[in-house]
Amino acid sequence: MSNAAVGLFILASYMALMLWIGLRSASAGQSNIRDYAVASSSFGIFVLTLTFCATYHSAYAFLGTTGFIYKNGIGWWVNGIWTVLPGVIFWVWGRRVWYLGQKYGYLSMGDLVTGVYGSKWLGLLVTLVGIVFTIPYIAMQAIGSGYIFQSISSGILSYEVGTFIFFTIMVLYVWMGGLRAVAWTDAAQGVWMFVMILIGGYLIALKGFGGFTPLFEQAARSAPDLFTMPGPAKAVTVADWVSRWIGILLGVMMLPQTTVRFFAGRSLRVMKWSAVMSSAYLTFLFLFTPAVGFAARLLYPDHKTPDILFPVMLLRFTPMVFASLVIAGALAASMSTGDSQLHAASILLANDVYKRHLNPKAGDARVYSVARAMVIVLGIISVAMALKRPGLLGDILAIATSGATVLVPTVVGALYWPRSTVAGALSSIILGEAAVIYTTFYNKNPFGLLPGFWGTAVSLVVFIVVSLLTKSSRATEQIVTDLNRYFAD
Amino acid sequence: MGKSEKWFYVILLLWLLMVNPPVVTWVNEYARSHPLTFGWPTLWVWLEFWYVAGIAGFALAAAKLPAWNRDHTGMSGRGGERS
Repeated sequence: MSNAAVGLFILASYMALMLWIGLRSASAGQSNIRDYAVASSSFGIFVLTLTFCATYHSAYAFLGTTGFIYKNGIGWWVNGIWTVLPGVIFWVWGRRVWYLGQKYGYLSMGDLVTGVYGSKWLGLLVTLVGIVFTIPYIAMQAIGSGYIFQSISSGILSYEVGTFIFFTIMVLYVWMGGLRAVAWTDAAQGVWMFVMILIGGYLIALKGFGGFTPLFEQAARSAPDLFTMPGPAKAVTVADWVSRWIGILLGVMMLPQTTVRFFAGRSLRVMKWSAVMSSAYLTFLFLFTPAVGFAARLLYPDHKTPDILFPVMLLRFTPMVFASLVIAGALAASMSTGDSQLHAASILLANDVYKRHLNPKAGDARVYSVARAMVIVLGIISVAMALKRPGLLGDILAIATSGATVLVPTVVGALYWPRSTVAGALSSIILGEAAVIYTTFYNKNPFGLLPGFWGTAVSLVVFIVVSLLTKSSRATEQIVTDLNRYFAD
Repeated sequence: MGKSEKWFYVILLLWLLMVNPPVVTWVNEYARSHPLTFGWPTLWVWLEFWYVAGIAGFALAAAKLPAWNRDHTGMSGRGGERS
């Protein structure tokens, strides 16, 4: 059997396994919107931890990290701040979101914002921000997967066919089982990704250099700039360091595929321990990643696209069967984020847009049907974007994470501050997005600070000032005061 | 917010100081002359130590803080009080 055939067989088996897990978990669910959207808030620690982590880490965890270290050295490990803190935020903010979800039946952040502020237009704005920044990301996961299929089959399967297979399987199980199917496949893919990234990194260091210390010693002699900031490309400056973790951490925590999971735990105890486990998972996943990036730099010093060097080194140092198994882990990283994004966007469109604005009288069964239909519609749109790769896709992706950071003041205000107002929230989102667009496309990274930092800073200042200048509603004061009272000692 | 929970946030702020400039910049300067510590990159060792300490502290707080140990059992219906 040729190497390409072995690789394709392993990938096909992996995809078939995911489809089987997705369809099997779908059969355990109920046919209603609450089960479809948040699995009836039924997840235990194991599933909630893994679905949160597998969603949080996209294909970047597998491919992009190697490329970043290759270009920028060990300053990459600022990443650790945004792998430790997501768990803390998941618990500290997430428990309040979960409580409101239980009390008022909210299914999404748009739902929560509408309810707490009493403004459906504010809720719509939050939803639109979520949708605009999610759909291009789905296409991006498909682009990554298309390349994986193409490279592992040595070109036998084209990029287009790989993208189509990826989407067909993902759409099928999301359509069948909603969050329940997404989460169980995420759980399987989360375990797979974790094990394979660690074993893959270990084997590259061992087989290529005789272990971690010999690898790092060789790197210290031939590429010492990898060991300190700002790194070979001079990119990881003090401003970059601070603004990078703030922007990425807050941005990813505000994206809909993340916030949907705030509602999905069975209890506060489950939320809490899932949060702790998530911090550990997200951080320890990268234990050997510096070695992979350093090895890539030593072995391929002038490579044009270092993002692909992890699988390239696996194919060089490990048997084809093992390399294919690890590369299936890269597919896991893409798929576990893509399915969550597809699911979250379908909920936003069905629950927040259709139910609230287009057909308020729609019953539960109708909203459930619309959500499932949206999975297919969004799947088709994303495939089209992945195949055509329009210029706009790159522009939206450039601001996606930063663009989501501007939701932080509105959401956190709804959870903690009784003085929060609709005017404060609306103006903070609009001006925050303007700041992100300005610092991304017109005056790039002023003072070396990335757009996510500017989006967060502008939206926070505007939110506080405008809220103080305007009057909050009695309902907002009541809900937030009750929430503060409930979570006081 | 109770006293014990406030302590958690104070420690979290101190933790953030350890993994951000200027502390990280000082460690970075040391790493220029000592790139390796225990056979691994010095800056990585410093950061990894604090990340592990942060996770351990979070786990300890989750286990011990009284305000974090109450489970929510008061709501029977899912969304019974839709606002």
